[in-house]
Amino acid sequence: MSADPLLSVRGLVSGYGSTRVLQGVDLDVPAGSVVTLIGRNGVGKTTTLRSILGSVSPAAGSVTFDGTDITALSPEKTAREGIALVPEERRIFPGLTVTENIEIGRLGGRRDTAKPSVEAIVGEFENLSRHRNSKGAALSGGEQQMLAIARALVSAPDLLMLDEPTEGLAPSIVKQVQRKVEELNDEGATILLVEQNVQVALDIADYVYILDKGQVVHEGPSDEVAAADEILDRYLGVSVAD
Amino acid sequence: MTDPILQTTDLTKEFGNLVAVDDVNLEVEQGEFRSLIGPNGAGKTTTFNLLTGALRPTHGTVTFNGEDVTGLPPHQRVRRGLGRSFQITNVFSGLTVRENVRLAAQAAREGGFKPVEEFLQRATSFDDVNEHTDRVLDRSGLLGRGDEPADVLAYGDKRRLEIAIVLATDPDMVLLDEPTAGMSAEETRATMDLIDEVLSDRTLLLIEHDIDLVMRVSDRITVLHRGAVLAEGTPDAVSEDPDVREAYFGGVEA
Amino acid sequence: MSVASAVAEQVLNGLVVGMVYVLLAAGLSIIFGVMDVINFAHGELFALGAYFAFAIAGPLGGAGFWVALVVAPLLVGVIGMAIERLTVKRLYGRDPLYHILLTFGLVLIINDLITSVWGKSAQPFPIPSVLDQPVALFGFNYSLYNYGIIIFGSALALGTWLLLNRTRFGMIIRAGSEDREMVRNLGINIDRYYTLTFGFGAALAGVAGIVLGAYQNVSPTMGSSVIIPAFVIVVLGGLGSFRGAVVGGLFVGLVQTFARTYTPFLEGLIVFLLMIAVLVVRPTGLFGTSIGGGEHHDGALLHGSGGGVLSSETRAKIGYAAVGVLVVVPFFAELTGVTYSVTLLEDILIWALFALSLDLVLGYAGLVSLGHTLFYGVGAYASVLTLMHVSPSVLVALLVAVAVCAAIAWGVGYLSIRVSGVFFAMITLGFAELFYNAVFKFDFTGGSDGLFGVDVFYGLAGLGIDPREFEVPLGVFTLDGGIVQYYFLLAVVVGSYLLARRLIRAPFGTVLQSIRESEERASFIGYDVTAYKRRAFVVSGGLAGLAGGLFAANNGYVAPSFLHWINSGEVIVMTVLGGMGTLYGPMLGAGVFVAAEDILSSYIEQWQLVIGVLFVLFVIFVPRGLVSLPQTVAEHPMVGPVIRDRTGVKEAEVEQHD
Repeated sequence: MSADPLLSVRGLVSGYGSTRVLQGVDLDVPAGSVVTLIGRNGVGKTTTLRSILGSVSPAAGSVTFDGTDITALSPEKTAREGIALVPEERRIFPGLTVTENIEIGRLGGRRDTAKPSVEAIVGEFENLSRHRNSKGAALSGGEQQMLAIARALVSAPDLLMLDEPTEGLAPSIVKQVQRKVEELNDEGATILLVEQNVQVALDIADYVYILDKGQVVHEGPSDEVAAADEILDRYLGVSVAD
Repeated sequence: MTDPILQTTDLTKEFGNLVAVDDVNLEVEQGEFRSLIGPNGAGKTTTFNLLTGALRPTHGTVTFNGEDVTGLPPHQRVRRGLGRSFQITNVFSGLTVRENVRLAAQAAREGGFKPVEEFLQRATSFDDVNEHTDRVLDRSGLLGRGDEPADVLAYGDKRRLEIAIVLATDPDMVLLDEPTAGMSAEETRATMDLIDEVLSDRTLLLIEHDIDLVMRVSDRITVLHRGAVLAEGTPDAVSEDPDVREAYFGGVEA
Repeated sequence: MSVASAVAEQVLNGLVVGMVYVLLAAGLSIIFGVMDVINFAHGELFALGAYFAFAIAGPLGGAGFWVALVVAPLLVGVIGMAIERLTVKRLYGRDPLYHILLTFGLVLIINDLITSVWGKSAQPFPIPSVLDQPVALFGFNYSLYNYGIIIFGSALALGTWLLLNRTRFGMIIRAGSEDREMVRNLGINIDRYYTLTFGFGAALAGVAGIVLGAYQNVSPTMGSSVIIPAFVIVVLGGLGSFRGAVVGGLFVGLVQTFARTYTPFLEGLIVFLLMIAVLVVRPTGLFGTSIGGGEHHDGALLHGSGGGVLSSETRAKIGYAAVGVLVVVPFFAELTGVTYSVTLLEDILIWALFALSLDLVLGYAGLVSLGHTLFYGVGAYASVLTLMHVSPSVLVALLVAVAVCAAIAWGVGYLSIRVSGVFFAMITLGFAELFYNAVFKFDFTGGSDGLFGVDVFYGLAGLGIDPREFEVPLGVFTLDGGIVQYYFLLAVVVGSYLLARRLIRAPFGTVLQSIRESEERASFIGYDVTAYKRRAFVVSGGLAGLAGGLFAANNGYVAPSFLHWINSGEVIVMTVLGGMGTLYGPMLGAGVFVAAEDILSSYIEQWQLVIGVLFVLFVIFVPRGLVSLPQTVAEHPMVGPVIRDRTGVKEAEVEQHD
């Protein structure tokens, strides 16, 4: 990682009201890589994404994106810089059709970039192209997740942030989502992923950050982390001593 | 063996097509410290809400102290001795520490209030309620801080107040909803110590995803997976269970 | 005319009125759906549209109407956008109550502007002669203009539907009403669309105003006469639902027209009965999907606090002093000859009691009762009827007033407290309007004249004082019956305050305070939150009935205006002005409001405008009310440190509200 990373977070302190959820987070996302944040519930993973986007205002620290300081930007400005968020629980617009959900995504994002057409994006997701005129609310959980990803992709973001995209999905659908994310990365997308499913997280990622109590407690290339039993055990409780 | 204090029979909750809780049969014994664990989406929170009365089950029953409470709203269950704590401290922040506890004690007053007492007598003039309040404040280590407004308490003390409010409702059994979520290791230990210190004589049901914590404190553990009970037993037995390891640990082998 | 064509004509009349409602309600509903704003000023924007058109069309003659039809709505749209930018925008994120208050202030402002420019009386607004002729269709003659309204209205409704469903603007609006934070996350500046939406809704109201103005005439009251039906339609159809606004508008237009012809007794009642029935069965309205817009507002009601620089001892002293002054005022009034001040004080005392009653539900139980004048009016009617038919004793009359109102409050509360928030507000408004319209219908309530000419005896069973025979010569002046009336009133109001204070300090009141802090927690320590709210509503209804009864007994009459929704608005204004969630705040607010109204109205003609402007500023900048001014000052970054240093006030002093 010699070149400057696309996204660089330094000493991020953030939270809600008087509760500080993040207590100094440092992380880098190099262009073209998949970086995942893992950790237990409530350790600040989602808050990290929200603070990067600006829907939670950081109390201290900095967020630099593509050489620009975006720490204090509002979510709409951050999105215009080229960061798209696929939020927790998907948050598609249930009363809008699949096509409209994607159209509205296309209105967002950077203004100075060529965006794929709605048709092109719909075409990339076979389970969406079958339902292009259905209301978002009529889709299954997995389809909604795909729609949320499609809505983000159509804005041609430089960085795609995914917050627990496999949560609440059946195992076969989890695989589909996983494949989609890998495919996007193969096409050159830069991805910051928050994932509860450790297996998926380690499979997809190039580089992993483990968060605990609002701080990065461990980081490393994903194969190294996958081998670090003791670390996984301590911070994620994913293995129990035999 | 005595009758269980809390029992669910075929408890099921469906949201549209999604079966969030699927035929769950639980039996919690008097005085037990039981934990309910499971990965995200396993149905822990829904089960919790079915037990407190925040949600009504699609079918199945909840029996508490031998009485069917399935159709009762939350406040009726609390009155019958089924208390709960909140994940994020949910105290009356505009009131004093003492008033927070006193309100809970007032709710739990034996025999309630006569109309004249309820509407015209000063709330702070009831000796039995005041004594109960003092006892709870004392036991939870807040006696000296009664006059402080709840919203200026430090995080740890707010947690203390949270538990004190639960204690003041004089519950036979307390449902604990991830009481250490978002806490540092140190705060987690302090909170569990506090629960142990203040609520040890009550039956406890802890909803938690932190398996270390659960292993440490529970008498028995129930593991939920996709809305159903996957395993149940002592911490040792559960940790050896291959199904549990497969489901809960996402297939990562140690 | 055959029966069939008579019915057909009724249908057409109904559709004409219905179209006007559709245009009004569509704007109101879209504004609510997107921004969670309940716009009380919508009726005034409607009136503005009519008056602008009136002003444009008059000088231009023949073609003027068509110019006005285009230009006037655009002007109203621009005014709507300005209103959003300058005022509404500042309150996003607060409870919808503050938008109700703000737009209520705007009603006063716009209405006063209209009367000061165009006068108080209704004026004819001629329709263009091309349209002013009958056409024979379906076997009978009917005005071409009315056909025009139906066609034009349908076209506009269709256009609005296309705008919402087939354009980029509409798509963003719909997405924003479902999840505005997510729209922002995509990089879209939704605030800009809010302004446009508000302007668009205002322009639609303007069109409706022109259409109706030319159908009937233009008058300054045209706004206040349509706003309530428009709300009913929006609630009936489902808040935020365009389809609901269209179906509801046409439906209400038809029902009103048919009721007028075939069941005159139900005219004015049936719409409210329908609304109540729909809300009880289906709280989300006919086409509503979710309760109140797409997401939950997170702003809470902002309560007044007497903390800050005044200690509770100081406040108690001020209270004693105030009562002391009230006791001696009549003597000074007699000495100086300013007897008028006593009448003003009586008004203030009654409104203070009314505001106090509202605060028990608004400030303590967190329920926004938009129809509180229901209890005030019913109390007044009940006491006058008792005085006329049962007993001349004011004690009996007031007791009946309190009992009747408490019983009605129990019934209304039983139906409505389980549906919370905006729906509670609307259902209380609906009940108040139902009673308002009902008193016109009956002989025993005196119809539109009301009831007057009652004599009051201050006592029971012959023991007491008859004010007509009361006379105490005191040297330079003589005390007459008026003084009895005044002291009785003062005693009742002070007594009610002390009673309310007892209630609030008793277990009952402490539970209300806990509910206000956290409803969920109160329920999980074992309190039946709904039951407590209902009880608070009953107490509140009883006290409001007492206030109404006192006014009626004092002045010897009652009229339908006692039940007019303007009273409900004013009493909310007083409560918030003073500081809700404290008992003395609303009483102070009533004093300031009534006195200001009295003084301003005797010096300036545009006093409503001044009050409106002051109130708008107040809602924006001092939402916690007058009682928290000391604290607001103490916390001001410039003044704060100085005062704190001097008096040692703690930054977050919190005390028991009483």
